[in-house]
Amino acid sequence: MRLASQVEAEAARWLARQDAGELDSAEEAEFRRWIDASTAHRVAFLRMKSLWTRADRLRLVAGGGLLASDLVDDRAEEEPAGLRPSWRRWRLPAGAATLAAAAAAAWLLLAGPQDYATPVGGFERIPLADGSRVELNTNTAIGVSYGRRGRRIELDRGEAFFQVARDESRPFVVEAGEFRVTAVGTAFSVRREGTGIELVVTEGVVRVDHSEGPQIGPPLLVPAGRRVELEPTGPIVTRASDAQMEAELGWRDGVLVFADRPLRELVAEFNRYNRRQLVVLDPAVGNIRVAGRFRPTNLDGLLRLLRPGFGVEAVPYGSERIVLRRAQD
Amino acid sequence: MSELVDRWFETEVLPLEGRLTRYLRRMWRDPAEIDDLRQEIYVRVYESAHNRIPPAAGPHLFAVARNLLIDRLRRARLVPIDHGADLARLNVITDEVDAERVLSGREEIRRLQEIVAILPPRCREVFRLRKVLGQSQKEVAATLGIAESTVEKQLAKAMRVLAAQFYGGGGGEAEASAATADTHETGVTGRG
Repeated sequence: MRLASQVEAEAARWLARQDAGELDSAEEAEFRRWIDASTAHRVAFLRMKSLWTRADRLRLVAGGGLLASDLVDDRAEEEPAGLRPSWRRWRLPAGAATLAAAAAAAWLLLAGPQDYATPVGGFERIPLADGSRVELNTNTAIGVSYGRRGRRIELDRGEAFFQVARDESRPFVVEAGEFRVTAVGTAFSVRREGTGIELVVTEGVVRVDHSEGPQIGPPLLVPAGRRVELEPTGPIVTRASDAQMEAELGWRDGVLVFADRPLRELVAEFNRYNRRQLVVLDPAVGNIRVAGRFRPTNLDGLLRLLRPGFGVEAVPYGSERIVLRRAQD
Repeated sequence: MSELVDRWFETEVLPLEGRLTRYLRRMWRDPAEIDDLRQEIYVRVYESAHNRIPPAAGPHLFAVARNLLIDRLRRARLVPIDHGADLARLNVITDEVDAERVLSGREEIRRLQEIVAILPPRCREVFRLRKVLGQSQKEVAATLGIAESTVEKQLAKAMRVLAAQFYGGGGGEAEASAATADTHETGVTGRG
């Protein structure tokens, strides 16, 4: 039998050749001869081909970066109408806010809120009295108020993942800035971003209301497998593949998953987890594309990677800032 | 029939390669021969499946592997002193095989990403454009300003590394992780 390394090299060559484009008839005949010549050839080719197909999963991971620009139209087609309420109808009369606050207070029999917080770079798992679980990402603060008719969480800042124990009689409500996210029994994460929130639903369905008043339009219902960015100006609903969901929720395992995104976004993420802040002044540096899995609490690891990986050097500026710039070679 | 065997081989046998490789490494003195042993085992397994697809791939694969190793030991001119002991050790506990955990989708992606990250830079960039960003080989050549034949060669090279690491590297265990640093950063792709 021929050497495995030789057969493998041939199999890989045929695979790459086929991928380059349709084989002409002479090439096709040559390929047939090769693969029929021995079972070792056939098996080696199967082995390569199988992995080649599996590697397409990498594309799914990268999909997140394409969605915003490329898939807008697809999305409009894909989303059932109920998921895309006109956001204008959510704009609410200013005076309604007070009414809503009063309604909320009446609705909940507050059992005295309990506060939990994580420092920058921290992570915390918190079991709640009803069997629900909360995981807090870096620099996050929540207040928990459980009453007889409702379970209420205030997300004051940061990002949290909720695994909600089912209890039909007591809705589970997360208040995050201007938004109210309601679940019965489900799992989702909420992250505050400026005036908006980012919501990722992994199980069940959650409902999002604009909390500044009574509902005018229909609420936004977000089923599992969706990721929603909500800004006061309007919602962006995207369908997320398993791989994207995994990337979004990587922080629960202490990792950031990046698939081809600009360095400036990675920098922004790292800055959420570290006191020492990275600063990028040169847009060309900020635009360098990055892929990989990062441990955001390991800033030094990232700094070590910068020069060999990106041709970028880190220059300390005082004790709390690090400027990233093109390496001066 | 052939297609059925192909499918069976892909879905039932190939996922066991990490364990098979570890078994061969444990049992065989010369690591340089592992790939050839594996090739021969696969050929035997694939050909026998044409007569009958075994109900459980794992025990069958390891039975074939064990028989091959025994043949080789018997044929070896210098019979090792601990021949008997070696033969006894070859009796792998096949329950272990049934318990083999096939990589979940997300572990698989993680692993692929880790391997892509250790490819040489040019090779990695070609692979990334073709498989991660989904460009055609022609587009990759245009993007990087290189010949299409170079793209094809680099892809073939990438696949060899990927196959060696992905199948043989030990299914997420420590063996293949030398290339991943302590921070888990596994990939830096080119400039954008």
